[in-house]
Amino acid sequence: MAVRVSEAIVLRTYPYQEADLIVSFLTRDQGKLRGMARRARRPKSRFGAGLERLSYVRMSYYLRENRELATLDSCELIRSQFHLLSDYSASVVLDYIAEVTDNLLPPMERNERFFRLVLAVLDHVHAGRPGAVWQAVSYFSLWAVRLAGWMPQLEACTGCGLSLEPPERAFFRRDADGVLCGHCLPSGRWELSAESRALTHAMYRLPVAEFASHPWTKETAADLRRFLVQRIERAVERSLTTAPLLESC
Amino acid sequence: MPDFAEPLERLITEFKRLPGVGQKSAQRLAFHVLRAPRENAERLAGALLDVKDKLGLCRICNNISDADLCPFCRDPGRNQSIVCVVEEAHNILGIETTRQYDGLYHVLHGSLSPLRAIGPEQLRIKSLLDRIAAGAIQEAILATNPTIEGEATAVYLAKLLKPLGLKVTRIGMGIPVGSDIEFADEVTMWKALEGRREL
Repeated sequence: MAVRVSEAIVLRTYPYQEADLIVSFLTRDQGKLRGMARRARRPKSRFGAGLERLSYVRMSYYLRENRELATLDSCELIRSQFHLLSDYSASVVLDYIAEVTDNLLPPMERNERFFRLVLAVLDHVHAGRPGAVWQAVSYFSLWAVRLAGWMPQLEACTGCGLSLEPPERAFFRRDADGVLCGHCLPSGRWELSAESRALTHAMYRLPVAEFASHPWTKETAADLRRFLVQRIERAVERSLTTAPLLESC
Repeated sequence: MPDFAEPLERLITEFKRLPGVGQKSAQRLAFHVLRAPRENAERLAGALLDVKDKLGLCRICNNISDADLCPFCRDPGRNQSIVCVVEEAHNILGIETTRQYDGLYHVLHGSLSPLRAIGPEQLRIKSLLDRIAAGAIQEAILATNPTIEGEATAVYLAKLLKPLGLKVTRIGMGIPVGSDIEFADEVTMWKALEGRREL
């Protein structure tokens, strides 16, 4: 059984037995994996700070055929998120990214674009510009839904096919498949503003770093975030724990 | 899985609910109880019930206690001007074994973790602020775990406590005693350098 070495992002850990951890991690070349890190909670653990949430590491592990859990051998820390802890909202955003990634991606299915997305948004948060965490969470949510294949088209009503080019208004609801016009969804709805729809097109075209100079607050594209969180919750068939905390930051 | 008699099966199921106990360990424990004298089983059952019936939380520091106040809050010999803030009650044991600390404690019962739906409201922060508002405490030592969640909790608490005018300190983090600097990762080394002291 040969040791594999993969670039990986640690998504979540679960305490197991006295000092072990079960680790969920996203690798660049093998997709999302789970592994057992023996004695990882001891002070002299060989994993050090490498198994903290969203640490970017070079992970060494053994993967046996027909075994769900890999055995983690060691990890070399490439980049840690410890520097971001002075900002509580950044901390919640990182937990949100970890939760969505862990829930949305199927195990052992390579998805390098998703891996690069997570790295790009983490870099953007590290830049520490005003509004960067809200840009990162909006950009990440949009591309996460798109890469998972759950993004509906926003240009036409999914009910009647009416074009939703502005000034036509677009609405959404938790149980609807996409966006709808005012006739198809007369009540119990949220509006997806024309500005937010225009932003989605910009985010499809440009890398997240290009939004650095774009003025952005928590209120910017808040309707789009709500729409995307609903898409994600529909896809994973459960409520996201971090989503309400994110909006209360 | 073999079919055991119903009471034995029930005991195995209950042991399996304990953290870190799987089917085989649960069977071993259950058979041990079965073979042991009746008094041993009674002592075990009594101890389990006592934990539930006789223990509560200390009115002041939220430590686990069998009285209104825990032994640390009851002891007038302890330094009443320092409070050490820990995540869980069992963290106190680690600090007490050093015999270097004679102040008081405050147990938060967790750390900030959005992934586990634990925000500031779920922690015992308000009672800490009330203790500090009473005026006797001059220093708060933040002894949360050196993890992302523990560090986030410490940073959050520091922002709340510093404006109240008391000294806020964080326990040292870095290279464990007996290990080698060569094997320290970036964060551990950074924290060790950040917490360096003059000799």
